[in-house]
Amino acid sequence: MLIINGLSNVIFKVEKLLAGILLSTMFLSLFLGVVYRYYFNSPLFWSDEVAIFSLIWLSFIGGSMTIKTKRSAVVSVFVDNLGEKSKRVVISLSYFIVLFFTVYFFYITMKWIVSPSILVQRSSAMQLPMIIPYFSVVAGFFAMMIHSLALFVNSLRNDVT
Amino acid sequence: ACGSSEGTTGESNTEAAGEGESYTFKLTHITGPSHNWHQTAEKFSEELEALSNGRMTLEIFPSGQLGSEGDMIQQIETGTVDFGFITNAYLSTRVDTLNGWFMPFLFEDLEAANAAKGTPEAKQMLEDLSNDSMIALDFAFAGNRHILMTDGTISSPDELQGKRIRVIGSPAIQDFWVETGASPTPMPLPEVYTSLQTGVIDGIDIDLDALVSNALYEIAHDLTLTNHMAFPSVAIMSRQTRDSLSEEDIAIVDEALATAIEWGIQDQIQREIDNLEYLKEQGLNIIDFNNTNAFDSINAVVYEKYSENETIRSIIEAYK
Amino acid sequence: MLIALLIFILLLLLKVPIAFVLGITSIIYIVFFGNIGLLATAPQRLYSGIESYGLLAIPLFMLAGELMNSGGITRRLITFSKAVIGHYRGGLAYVNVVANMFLASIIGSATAQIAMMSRVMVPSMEKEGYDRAFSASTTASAALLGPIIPPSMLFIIYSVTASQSIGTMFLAGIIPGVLLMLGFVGLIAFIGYKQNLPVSKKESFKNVMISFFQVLPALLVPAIIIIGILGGIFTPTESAAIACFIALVVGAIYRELKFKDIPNILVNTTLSTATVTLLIAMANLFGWVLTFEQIPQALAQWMTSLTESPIIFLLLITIFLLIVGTVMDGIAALIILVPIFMPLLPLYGIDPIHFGVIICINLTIGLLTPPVGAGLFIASSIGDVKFEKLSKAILPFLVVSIIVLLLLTFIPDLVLWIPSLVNG
Ligand code: NA
Ligand code: NA
Repeated sequence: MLIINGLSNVIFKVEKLLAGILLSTMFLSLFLGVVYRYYFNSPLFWSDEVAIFSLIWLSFIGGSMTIKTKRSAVVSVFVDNLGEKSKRVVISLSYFIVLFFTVYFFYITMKWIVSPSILVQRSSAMQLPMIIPYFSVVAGFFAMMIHSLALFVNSLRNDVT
Repeated sequence: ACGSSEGTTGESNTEAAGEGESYTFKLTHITGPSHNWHQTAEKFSEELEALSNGRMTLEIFPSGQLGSEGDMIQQIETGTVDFGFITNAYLSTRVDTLNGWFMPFLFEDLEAANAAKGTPEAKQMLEDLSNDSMIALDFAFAGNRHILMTDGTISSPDELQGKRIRVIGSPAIQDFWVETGASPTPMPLPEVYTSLQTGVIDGIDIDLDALVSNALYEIAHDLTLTNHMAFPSVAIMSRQTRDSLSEEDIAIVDEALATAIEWGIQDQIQREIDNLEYLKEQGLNIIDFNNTNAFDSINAVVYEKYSENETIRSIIEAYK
Repeated sequence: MLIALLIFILLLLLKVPIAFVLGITSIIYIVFFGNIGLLATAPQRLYSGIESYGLLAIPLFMLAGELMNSGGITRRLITFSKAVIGHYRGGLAYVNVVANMFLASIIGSATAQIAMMSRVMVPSMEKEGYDRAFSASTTASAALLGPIIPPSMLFIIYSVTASQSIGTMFLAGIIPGVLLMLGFVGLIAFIGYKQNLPVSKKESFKNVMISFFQVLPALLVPAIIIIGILGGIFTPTESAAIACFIALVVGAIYRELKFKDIPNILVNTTLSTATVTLLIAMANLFGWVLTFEQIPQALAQWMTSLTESPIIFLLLITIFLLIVGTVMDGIAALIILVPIFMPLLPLYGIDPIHFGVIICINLTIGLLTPPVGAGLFIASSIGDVKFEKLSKAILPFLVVSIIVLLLLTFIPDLVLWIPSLVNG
């Protein structure tokens, strides 16, 4: 077992847990939003914002999960028609491209998140520091980087998917 | 040819006439091409070209084409976009002082709000907003806020009790509406039409331009002209862009902008008249709200809360 | 520009996830041809691409669909519809189109509707012996009715950007929606005849009644949604959360929804959601780079320099938008292109309402055109059908949609008749 696979699996477990929490939060905040507005006639000013921030976190965390589970939308017609050997090469190459991109993007997002103007921003309804939803992009690309490194390394070793 | 990009700050060409550098600036804002802010931007473009003898041109990206206001600010700060008209509502989440414009019933009408931008307090707001990467130059006013309801005009806060009113999700606006006893409901603008129609909300805090362009008069017929708040945007310039210009060119930019904004306010005043005319033709029930004392106790609570900020306190003192 | 296009196609062929193809192409374009300063804002653009209230409907309707499936609601709905019209050839396919039509009068977004119906219809159709790709393409196409039959997010956004009456736009969508539905029904009848689509055996009256009583609690989901929206209790977006709640309750009444199933349901919903939203984020980055370089604007201006005939102009626009729709999200395209085309309409004497309906249907069809179609991705990921297989199966439906679109283009009265009745 490679260390990178272990790390990728641990991250995936955390992601599953987070996904459950985020999806439930999104559902509850919109549902309570309706209940409070209609039955108690006192609309919750924070419900839409909580739901949208949950969606954003869900998208980046979930986006990384789709890499791990190979569920992302792809065009595979070309690769499917290749011979066994060239197929393995192309798939390794594809994982490498994704890995390279996620590393590069992780670097860009790190530069972005530490820029001074990030810290002064607050959300419009809750006055929440915007770094809380923004950080989802960084976290998502970090996890994507680990997952795609694991996939790339595995594709070099033996199994082709 | 598609691959070439126009130089903004760094890459600029020497003009054939040799009078100085040529620039193609980019300006972005959130409203549509028919809005006053867009027309003001067009005017700014004309002025820039005229004053610089054609050395300066302006590409305008309306309707949030380059992203949300958060995105716009970032593009201005990094110098990829040179100018922006950013709403005070968004900027007030970054800089407290700007809530001064949202103090309820402080400005009698559009002209009063516009006049207030000459005060030291307004200058202080621009200064608070400016930083290492951007500079706030001026305010451009959209129409003042009024109240549109589906079930009757308003003569006092009593008629707002328990009513679900769509408001913009900015803290000071929220605070005012909570104090009125209404149920302020945040909601994105595209959802408003159907929500008013089905009764998810009973009314909306809105300016006449947005009322007309979103066709809300089709489904809500009672308009109370309250003028309860001003609604400016701030003209922002990238610090990088500014630093790259010569003294003379900076003067050209400033003069062009000042002329455009002055033109803009006259245009907006005329729009208010035209919009009202149009809404009357559409058969809206419109009343002028003049029982402002009815809101005194509500205003006092909001004023008190925001008076912790020295600039806001003195603007309240000046205009109360 | 050409190099960027080649890289785009190469990456697609190499089986790089489509979301990343969009992201990588954008970055390459910026680094090699564009304004390098854009890189600093790229993460912000990814973020704000999904910072949208309307998108909330996607995960929540997906969740509702998962809950309805696990709770036995879907099964009973299908059993009932089948008992009533299943004995016609291709019966379930008709059930699919009709159910989508009803749903369209509640939901204003095609993507939300594709998500919801793929989850529900594709497994049931497959169980009845339909081909999976055919089932998914029927569902995805029928869900196009979502933004055409009012209410419609796309129509609202058009009306606002083009300063048109939202009410009139809604009225104008009725006949096009019905035409599209009839077109799909005709296509299914044709395919049913050619390919011998499954027929279920005719049920006895007693069995019809039994399945009717079993389905009653399940009918609560659509019923409460319709009543709630029309009664002003919640917005169409919020109705997605309400649908989840009712699905939970009804699933508990049927005693089929088990607590231990919930974690799996949540993970599945997350994966289906993120496949779509990550793509939207990347497409947003891609569209932004194009806009920044003023590429869509330049294309539109070049196009209008070609002809003086209104019909040819509209046909050019149709072709142009179908191409734009293959790579760009409909709402983003509307926001960018409508202001460019609006000033040209009076020159050609084209009615802005007619134009609006055509442009919206066009961009909606774009959801289903490969290589980039959010609708295709959703249907392929939720319906669990290979993307290319689905792209192929959807072709006949695309042809029907485009025929309807051309009819609407040539006969403006089909669009303008109902609004003229109401507005006088
Ligand atoms: Na609809
Ligand atoms: Na497409």
